[in-house]
Amino acid sequence: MDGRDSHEALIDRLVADARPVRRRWSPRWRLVCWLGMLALVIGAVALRTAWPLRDPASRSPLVAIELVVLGSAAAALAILALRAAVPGREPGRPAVMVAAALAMSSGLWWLGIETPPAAASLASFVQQGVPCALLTATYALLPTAALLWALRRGAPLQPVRAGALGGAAGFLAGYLIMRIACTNDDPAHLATWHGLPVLLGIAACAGAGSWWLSHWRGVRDENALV
Amino acid sequence: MTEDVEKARERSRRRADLMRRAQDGDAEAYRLVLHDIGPVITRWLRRWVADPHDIDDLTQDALMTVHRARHTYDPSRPLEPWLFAIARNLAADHLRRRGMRLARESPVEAELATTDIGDGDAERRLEEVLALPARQREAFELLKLEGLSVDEAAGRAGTTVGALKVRAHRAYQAIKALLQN
Repeated sequence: MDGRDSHEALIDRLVADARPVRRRWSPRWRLVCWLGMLALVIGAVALRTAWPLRDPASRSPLVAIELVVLGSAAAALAILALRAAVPGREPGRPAVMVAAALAMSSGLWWLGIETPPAAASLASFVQQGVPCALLTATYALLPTAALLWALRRGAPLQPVRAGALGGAAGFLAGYLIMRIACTNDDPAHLATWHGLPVLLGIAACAGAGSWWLSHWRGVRDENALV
Repeated sequence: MTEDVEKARERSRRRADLMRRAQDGDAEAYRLVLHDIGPVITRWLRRWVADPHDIDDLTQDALMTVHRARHTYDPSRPLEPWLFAIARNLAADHLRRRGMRLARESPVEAELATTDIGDGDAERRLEEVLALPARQREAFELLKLEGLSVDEAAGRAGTTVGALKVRAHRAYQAIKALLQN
């Protein structure tokens, strides 16, 4: 079978295999849904922890600014992740760098926040920190899973990158929620027990993306309506 | 030129409409759009891949990828950036597997290896043009060699009009410097 015949045979097969598909919502609308879900989680945590009434430090304008910057960075990373699942709309490196810089700039506000004394010993530092790390990962689970699921329903041409962006947005959201839930503003505590889970989460999601977000290449016609 | 631009725009709108109908289950529209985009993909792939068998294989891979990813295409946008993103990704994967970078491949280099232009100076200058960064070379080729409009070239390259203009300007500056030297 020469090139032309095999080409025609392929087109015949694709046409025979094709059924109506459910178009994906645009990245913008999917972001709105994700932000809505995130707002509900943040609201629930804030109510449960009586934030900001319980802790005078959390009423500082600097904390509010930090939360706004974190929220903006999470939203920026989420829209970049959602765009990464649409061929031709993948974000360029400059956009990713700007979003990452915005996320990291949230740490600058720590310099102006009045911090409590550091932990007396390494043991107490670890004892206070491990539950925070676990909670950060727990709070990140829902936003991250929601994003990765949205990406899986798209067609990410670079699944590792898409997974990393989804993980960055989801885990940054977890970090944001923990800034509300946790009263410890010590920069060492935040960097280690809140920040490190974010980095590990990004790496894990990038790795997961390499196989979990590539499935669409081998799927016959999963997105057909019938 | 204006008429050509209008024809190209009309072709682009037609492709987008065919793809929209294909997404809704119109088999005939799907067949038409696959027949239409096949040669477009093949022509694009010839920029990066020299072996005709590889080009055939990659074209078929691209059509299958279009099939699997068709649910992600937004009919309110032109089809070309979506299509060329798929083709570009497949070409890059192919060249990566073969241990070559996309920027160093060009079918014209294969021709240069066997064709004696007869003017060593012109041949050297052409090689210098081919040595431009891939994106600048692509902008130059689309605008000056293929005669596309800026809008069409941006769509083909999968970028914005502003970014394409910047790449073209840099290519012109580099070529100007080469000629002056």
